[in-house]
Order: sequence, then C-alpha cells, then structure tokens
Amino acid sequence: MSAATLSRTSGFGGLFAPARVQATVIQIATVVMFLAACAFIENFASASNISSILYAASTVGIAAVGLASVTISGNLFALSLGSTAAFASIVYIAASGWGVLPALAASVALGLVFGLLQGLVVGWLRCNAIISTIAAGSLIAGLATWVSDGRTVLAEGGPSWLGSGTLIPGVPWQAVLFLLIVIVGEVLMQRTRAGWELRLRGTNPDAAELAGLRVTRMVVLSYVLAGAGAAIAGALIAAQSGTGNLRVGADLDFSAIAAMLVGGVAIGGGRGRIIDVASGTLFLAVLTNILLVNNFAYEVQLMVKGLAVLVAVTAGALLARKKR
Amino acid sequence: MKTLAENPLLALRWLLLLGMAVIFTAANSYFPAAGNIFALGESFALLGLVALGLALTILAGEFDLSGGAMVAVSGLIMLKCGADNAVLGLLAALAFGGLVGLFNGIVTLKLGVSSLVTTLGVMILLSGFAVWLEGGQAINFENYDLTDAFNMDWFGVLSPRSVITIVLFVVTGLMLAFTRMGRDIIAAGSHRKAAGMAGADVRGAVVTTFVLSGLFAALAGALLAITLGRASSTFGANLLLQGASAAILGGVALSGGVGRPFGVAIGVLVLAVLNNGLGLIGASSPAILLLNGGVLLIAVLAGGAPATWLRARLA
Amino acid sequence: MNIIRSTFGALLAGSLLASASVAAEGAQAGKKVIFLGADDICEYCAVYNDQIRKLAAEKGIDLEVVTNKFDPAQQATQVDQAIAKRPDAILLWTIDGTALFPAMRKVQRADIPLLLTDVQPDKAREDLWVQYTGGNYEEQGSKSAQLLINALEAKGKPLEGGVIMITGIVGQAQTISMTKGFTETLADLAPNLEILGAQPGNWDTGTSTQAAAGLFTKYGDEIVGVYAAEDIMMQGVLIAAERAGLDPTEMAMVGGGCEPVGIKNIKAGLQYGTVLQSPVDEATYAVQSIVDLFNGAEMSKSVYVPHPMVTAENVDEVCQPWPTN
Repeated sequence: MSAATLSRTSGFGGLFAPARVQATVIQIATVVMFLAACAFIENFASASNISSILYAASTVGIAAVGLASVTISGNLFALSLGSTAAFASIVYIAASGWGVLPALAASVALGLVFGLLQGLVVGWLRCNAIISTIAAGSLIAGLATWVSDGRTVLAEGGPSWLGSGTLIPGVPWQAVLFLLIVIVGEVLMQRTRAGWELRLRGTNPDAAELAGLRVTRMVVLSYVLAGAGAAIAGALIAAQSGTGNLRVGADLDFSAIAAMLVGGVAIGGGRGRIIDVASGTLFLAVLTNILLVNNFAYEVQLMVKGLAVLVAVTAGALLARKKR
Repeated sequence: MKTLAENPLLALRWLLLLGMAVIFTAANSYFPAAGNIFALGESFALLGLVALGLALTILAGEFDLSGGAMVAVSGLIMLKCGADNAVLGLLAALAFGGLVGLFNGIVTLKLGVSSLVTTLGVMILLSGFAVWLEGGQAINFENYDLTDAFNMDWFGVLSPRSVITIVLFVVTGLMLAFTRMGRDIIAAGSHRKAAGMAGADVRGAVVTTFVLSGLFAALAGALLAITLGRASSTFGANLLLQGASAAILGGVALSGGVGRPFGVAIGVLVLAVLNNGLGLIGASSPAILLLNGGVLLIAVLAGGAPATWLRARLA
Repeated sequence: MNIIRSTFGALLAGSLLASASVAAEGAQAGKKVIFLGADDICEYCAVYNDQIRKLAAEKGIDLEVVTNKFDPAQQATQVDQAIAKRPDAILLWTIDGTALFPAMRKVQRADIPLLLTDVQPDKAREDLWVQYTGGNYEEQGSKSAQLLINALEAKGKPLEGGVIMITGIVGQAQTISMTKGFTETLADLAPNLEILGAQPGNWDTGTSTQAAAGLFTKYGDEIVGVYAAEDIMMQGVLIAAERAGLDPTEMAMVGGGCEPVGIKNIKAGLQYGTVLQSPVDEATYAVQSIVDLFNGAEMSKSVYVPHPMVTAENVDEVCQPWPTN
C-alpha cells in the first residue's frame, strides 16, 4: 500500500502517479476516441446516437458504480447483479401503474433487501464472497421465475419520462440520473468517513480491523449499494422497453466488471474511484457504439472488447511500472 | 467428531452428497440405476475438467476466468480441424488450449496484475473467436463411429470421458502431493514471496497451472464436441460459475494454497448429483434455481462464522 | 403474476401432480412419457410447459417434464437419464438443433419411440425419430420476407432500398434457419432490396435496442424495412427508431411470434406485422403426436404448426393471448 493510494491525489503530477495512471489514460483515450469518432464517422455526433450511447452507458454504469463499492472494499466482485436487475425489471413494470418514482422506489427497495442479505452473509457471517453472491444470484433468479411464472410483464400506456424523456436532445434523463449517482458515489467514497473506511478495508482488511474500523458495517454497506445499483439498472432497462422479464441483465455482471476494471479500479481492492468507473463505462460504451455504427460483425465486437480490456490493463500496468 | 471439528466444510460435503443420494433414491427409484450413474459420470466429466483446471490456478493464488469460453472454442477447433482426422483435431484443440494458458500465465506474471483481469479479457476475446470460427454455420461431426465409441458404457456406468476425467484427477492429485512442481504450486499460492526466496520456482509453477487449466478446458470441450457430434459458440456458457462453485465447494480457498483435487471432485459431484437428481424427479425451473442457490448457501455458511462457532463448541 | 402457490410441493413436482387421475379415453391413457424441454426463463417456453402439462393431463398421459437451461451437454445427460427410466416414449425439444444425434441414436437403440417438438434437426437424420411437430423456422424467416414486401407494397413504396436484420443468438439452430429463410426469399422476390446489416439481438429487448440504434445511425434514411426475428426484439427496434427520429409507420417493420408485445405494437400501428408461432399450438400438436403414437395412427415425419402472416387486419382472429396460470 502506498501513500498515494489513500491520499487524494492533486495537480497534474497526481494524475499520472502510478495508482492513477491507468484511470487517467482511459479518460484521455475516451475523449480522444469520442472526438475522432465525431470527426470521422457520419452521424456519430447526432443527438440520437449520443443518446443511444448514454442509454447503454447509464444502465451498465449505475450497476458498475454499485459493484465498485464491493470491489474497492476488498471483496472482488458480486455475481448476483444480473438476476437482481431481472427481478427489479419485473417489479418496476408491475408497479409502474403507481407512477414512475414509486415504481423506481419499489425496485430499489428490492435491490436494497437483496444487497443487505448478501452483505450480512459476507460481512457478518464472514462467508466466501464469490460463492455467496453466486448462490444469491441463483436464489434471486429462482424467486423471480416463481413470481413471474416466466412471463414477460408489459407496461400499461406509453413510455414514461424515465424511459424515453430527455433533458436536452441527446441527453436522456437516465444519463442525468447516472451522473447524479456518480457524483454522490464519488463524494461518498472520497470525502466521507464511511468511504475512507471502505477504501481502507480494501487496502488492508487486517489493519482496518485492528485499527477498530467498522469493517462489518462497511462490507454490508458495499453490498447494499451493489444491490441498489443493480436494481436501478434493471428498472431503467424496463423503463426503456416497457417490458420486464427474466432475460433482462443477462450480460450485466460481466459488463459491469469489465467497465470497472478498464476504468482503473483494482480488482484486489483499495485502489480506484467512482469517477474511474464512469470513465471505464463510457470508454466501452463509445467503443461498442463505434463498432455497431460501422456494422462490424458480432464476433469482431467481442474480440475488440476483449482486447480493449487486455490493452487497458496492460498499458496501466506498464505505465505504472515506468513511473515507479 | 474430529473431522467435523477440524473442517466442517469437508464433513458437510459428504453429508450433502449422502443426504442428496438418499433423498433422490427415495424420491425416484431410478436414481441408482446404471443408466443414471452413467449420465452422472458424463456431467462429472465436463464440469470436473473445467473445475479442476480452475482449482489449480486458485491453488497457485490466481484465477482463470477463461475456461468456460475455452470449452466452446476448443470444441469448434476439434470439429473444424478434425473432420477427417480426429487425432489431428484433438491435438489442435489441446495445443490451442495450452498456448492460451501459456499466454494467460506469462501476461499475468509479466504485468504483475491480477489474473482475474487478464483472463477476463481473454474470456471475452475467446467468445468472439468462437463466433468467428463458427461463421454462422451449424458445425457438425459426421464421424459417428468415434461418437459412438465415446458414448459407449463400461460396466454400464463408466464412459470414456468419465474415466479420462477420473484419471486426470488422480494424476493431478499425485502431482500435487509428491512432485516438486506440486509443492511449488502450493507454495506459490500460500506464501509466494517467501517461497520465491526459498528457491521455489514460483513463476514456473504459476505458468504451469494456467497451461494445465487451458489444457483441461480444451480437452473438456473437444471431448464434449465428439460426444455430442456438434460444436457451437454457445457451449460452455454455464461452466464458469459452476466450475468456481464446485472448486470452492470442494474446499479450495480463494486466498490460495488450500484445497486438493479430491475435494474438488467431491465439490463437482455435489453439483452434478444435485442437478442430476432434480432432472430425474422433474423439478420445475424455479425449484432448480432455488435449490442450487440453497445448497451453495449451506456450503458457504459452513466456511464462515457459523462454522468457526461450531468448531469452538466441538473442540 | 402468480405469487401464491398452494404448496412448495406443487412447485417441486408440478408435473407429477398435474397428471393426476383424469379419466381419459384412448390407448395413450396411463402411458409414461418423458418430455425433455426448455427452461421457464424464456416466456415462450414457460407458456409451452404450462400448456403441455395441462393438455397431457386431459388425455390421461403420465407426462414428466424435465427442463433445461439451454445447455446441450446437460440435455444429452438428460436423455441418458430418460432412457434409464424406460418410459413408453420420449418427447424431445432439442435445445440445439443437431447436438443430440448421438443421444437420439441411443434412444433408438433402447427401442423407445422418440417424438420431437419445437426444433427440427436436419431432416437427413429423420430415421432417428417417429415424428416432428412444431415450428418451421426456415418457413417463418421466408414468410417474414414475404410480409416485409407486402408491407412496402401496402405503404405504396417501391421494392428497393436497404433492410436491416436483428437476429437471435448467433450459433443457435433457430437463428441459422430463420436467417436463411429470410435472406433467400428476399433475394428471390425482391432482388432490389439489399440487406445492409445484421446484428444479434439475443432474443432480448435491450440488446436489440442498442443493435438497431447502431444500424439506424449508420444507414438512417437508406433503411426501408427492418426484420426482427421475434416481436420482443422488434420492440427494441421501435424504441431505437423513435430515438433516431425515424417514423416506424413509414417503414416495413416485421417481427415474429405473435407475442403479447407484438400484438400491442401491431394494434398501435407501429409494427406492420408478425408471423405466428404459438406455444399453445405447438404443445397441442405435441400432445396429439403422443396420442397418435399410442393409438397406432399413421404418422408423417413432419407436422408443422401454422405460420400465418399477421397484420392489423387479422391480428385479433389469429393471435390468441397467451394463457396465464
């Protein structure tokens, strides 16, 4: 653990400190790639295309922000996000008759409960984090199948403001919500005592315990946030399509993990910021969009995404080493 | 009660396995039938090889996420290169698996990053490669003689695949217990720095586990393709999570250095028996999901604080 | 939604309870049939599973339903299990078109009659089964192409310009057949309609939205028609079109399946049409196939459920709402 990991980095030099260099490189790469695409790809910069990038980024990004709290606090990752999102999509549509916000609240409540239960199993009962969340994923999917009978639920009436409304053309409300969640998450993680304890738990669990930090509470909190993030993602997907079913969120777990890692969050815990999760998500969303807009075959899209993860991590590791 | 006091997870696995066998036999008299044991062996063979490779990497303090995707790719290579000559196809699939494993190991060590990250990239890359190999066509295997040979049963219960898998479990177990490489692998997982200073070939050991993991997954995929007479980019999708569950259920600790192939075999059996039995009694989709989650939850609780508490009481 | 079920037992072994004593006529009554089908996670499959349980019980067939998480390897072992149970017949929904030939050969060697449903494997091997009942995916793709042409004609547009496709999961037998049927028929009937791009929508609305959005951005006004292999994916296309500021009523939007969301979109005028494939029909045909088998009726190798083309005009007659529990 270096001092740089914990102290807030500041100034230009800080951006390229070993612990921050991957995040900074990805942020620059995202901007460069975006500008280049605007210049060279026809219609890329159109409002409708920007909004489709933002829709894709918002759902994955919100789930990834929640997930990042688990990772940063030192529990690798959760594998229950996809099924939580699926269940939340069903709840959102079923409750959409009450209005957008109550339906969103109902989905989030579901995610909070599932997150809390997983947090208790991992944090309080000290159980294996990976298997606990695989087990939870299976249980949640089972419950969702039982409740929904496998049926797709359809929303009554037309699309809501949350599903298709925009603040200005090209910027959907879902992206605004994503931005808000990133800001709140960043402040929570970097400027509050809870965030500091969470990060310290990830850097060195034993030291954190010995130092008398509220370790259990922090771990529980991280899973609650992950559950809520996945549930919001599910609700947003449901709001977009007006449908909720068990297929929602099928790729969410690994998309969120990839976005977070590309952004520069360390899988081992302790290092990385919420803002990095956002940049990793945007990087992959812009890349995916460029490939889609050029009608590259599906296999090419997958291979480029795999390479992007490898290259981002390789570059991060090599640059960090050079700096040392 | 000594075993229970020492390792509740070990005892619990046996308890789960026996309990399920009793319940399923009571629920359906066909559970112990030879044909069903054969089917159980087939499930064991596929999941077992993937879980064994993954467990080796965890043992050495790493984690290979690419095994499931490798099953799809190697099956396609097997059938594309082995249409005329099956041995050639098998060798090509194994060579590819070994090379990807080598890549995983070397990149992870050279970069000094978590293998979760490198193998995630490789996993996505491999799934794209599988779709490319497939090229939008149905890839079938017309060599029905070979397929039949792989589907025959020995003594009614064993298949060539399950025998190969059991042999590899035994060989891997012996390798870990009695060879220098085995000791180095365990040392790399438990005290990597100290082991390196003490002269263990830590880097060689880590790379070896990745190569073995790639080889085992490729073998699983190639044998699956021969047995099914078909390969597809969709194969192996459920294997990663199941493999990780089986390994950890089998007593392999994510922190590295802890766990043995025999335990992994039991972990694989627990999952195989559970899903075999649920299929046999015709359980509904939600019941299958809930019971899979439930069994994992029981197993995971046995590794956590409740077990510590129990241990303290029994000691 | 069906939150409350009477007992957990019913959940565990719904099939066993469903087939309880119903006095039924015919030689099929009391026969033990194992149905190896798909998981409830897909809505179509869930409806099919419910229906076949109900219909089999009416005919007095002792039907055991075994589901599968779209995993051909698991299904091959389920076939082994089924053979071990020595049923009077096996009804198989092959999760993956052809992966099960070796398993089917085992069924044949065990002298158990094999019926197939929903997915028709390569007909060259039809000596392995008694009868296939269910959908004809190539015909569906072909009908969709016909429907897309009808749509353009109905809207008074020339048969030229670009078409995009949103397909199912790459590599699945259904996806391969539907794509083949669509592209071949389109090339035959309207050579001036060009397929500009195709992306998988993975039978999922969200994935289809993103895939269609990318294609709309690239090709925009060149696109005169969209084929989505399933209505739930067409829903994603419609969302993407709305975001791209394209008017779906001006384009030939063709889905598939007559699914609830498709019915809604057709009635709203957003989607021109769909091609029926009904889980209720398929389950009914499958049960009839079982009845015929045991009553010694003459059985042809392939019996297809009807795939009529559906537009706003006949949607109410043709597309029956899917029954719920």
